[in-house]
Amino acid sequence: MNRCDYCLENLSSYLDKEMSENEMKEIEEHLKECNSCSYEFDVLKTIVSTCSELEEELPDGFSSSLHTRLEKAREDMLAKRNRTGKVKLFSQIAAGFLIVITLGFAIRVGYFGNRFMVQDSATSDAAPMAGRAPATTQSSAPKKFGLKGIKSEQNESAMEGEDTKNSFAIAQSAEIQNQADDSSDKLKQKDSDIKLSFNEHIVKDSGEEEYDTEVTIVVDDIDKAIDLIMAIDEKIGKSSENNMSYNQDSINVYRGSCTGKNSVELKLVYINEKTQQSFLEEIQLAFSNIQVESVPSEDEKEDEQEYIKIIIEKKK
Amino acid sequence: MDATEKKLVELSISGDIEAFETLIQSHQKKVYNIALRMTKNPEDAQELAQDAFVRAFTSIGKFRGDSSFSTWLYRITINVCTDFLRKRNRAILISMEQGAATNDNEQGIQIAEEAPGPDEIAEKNQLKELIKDAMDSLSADHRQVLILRDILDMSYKEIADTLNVNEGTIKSRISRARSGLKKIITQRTELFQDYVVKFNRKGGNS
Repeated sequence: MNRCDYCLENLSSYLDKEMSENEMKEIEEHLKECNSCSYEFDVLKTIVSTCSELEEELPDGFSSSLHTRLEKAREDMLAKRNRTGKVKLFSQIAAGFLIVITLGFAIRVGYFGNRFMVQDSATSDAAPMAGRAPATTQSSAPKKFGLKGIKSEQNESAMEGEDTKNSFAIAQSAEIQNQADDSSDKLKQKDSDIKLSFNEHIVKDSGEEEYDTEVTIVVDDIDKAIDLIMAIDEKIGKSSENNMSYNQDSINVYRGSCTGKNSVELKLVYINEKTQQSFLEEIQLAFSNIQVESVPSEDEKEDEQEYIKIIIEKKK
Repeated sequence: MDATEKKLVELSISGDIEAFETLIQSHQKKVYNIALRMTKNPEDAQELAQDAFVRAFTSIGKFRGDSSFSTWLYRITINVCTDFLRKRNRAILISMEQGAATNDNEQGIQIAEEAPGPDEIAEKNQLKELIKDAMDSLSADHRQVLILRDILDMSYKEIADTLNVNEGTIKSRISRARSGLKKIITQRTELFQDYVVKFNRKGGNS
């Protein structure tokens, strides 16, 4: 590299004085004796000094309209907090209600006490109810009580949709527990217990940004998880360039401060719901401990961009 | 982060709007200017600058003090603007595609010829306009670093922290952005050469 090339390449940092003294001196010397480089330097100085004068005043009323917006934001936050409180209370009441019903049913069929003796007659006794009640307990009970048992039936009932609506799930969310099917054999962890919850509430991140889908993954090794997600994103393609800048930020933050960071948030944008869906399918196959919250798209527009937030947490 | 700032952050976390306003007092103009140069439009800029402040307010609980408050705030601002541009670019892309299908290239030509008359504005202002225009046609990445470096006067280190990119990358990005700016300006006008001569004869300022 000749001296002019070197000089021109470093002119910008020379102007900003962002280089060592020796390097500064070297360029200074060269500028004294080289007309063309020194002209280039003048050009650069002109541009940069004009740039520094581009700062403009705040528009009138900026602060006061900001104040109004801040007040509104605070109200929204408070309202949101209250709302979530109510929903929780509500579902607790619903759970209590369910216990009463189940208990009532159990007593009716003689589950307690002389269950062996009464079994025969109880079956006929309970017959009129049998059609309705079991469906209710099936689809709701595991959610409320955290049972992980009845997988296949539950899967069915949630798929049909009908039963789910009939259930007492006040939060209007249906949860599916299913064993990852055979197709997941090609990918990693086999003991997959995938938990899906389709929630009709809009998934929002504390009033910051709207997401169509929020995915929470709990893993042993966050780094590995990130790599896997990036690989899947790349495989899906179509948007990886788009997503690169978002994710690079979070990854740098996460890797930059290794101590004490137990989670990392990634953001993905897909050009349409179909692409997002294939990403979600892949990711559900790849991870065992995953939770997906999704908003069914309200409008029918197929080309809407889909925003996914991925939270990777370290297993405690 | 000094003690006052820390106190203000704590108060803001508890929902104290006045404390938050004191905290952002000295940053308002800068945040607005980032948004202004990123979006090229005062209305959008005001909206987005306020979006950024609201977002900072609602998520200040997540601010851990790893970086300075201003770095954190500018990062939010840039993210807000980038999101906005991404959505808008998509809209523009669609309207351009539709436009191309219906009426040839007429629009493009009209835009290119739209420039302020040389007599209307004083020389310096004209140069400013020239550079603003040129800056608007840079890529968002390049525009970002120039805003932070040349308008906000941040150091390479501060810019690197704000954008989460290493300093070496910032250094070369700034250099390339400035070359890009120069290229656009010299392509657009020969008059610029006169400015350079005049500006530096007066001693410039450096």
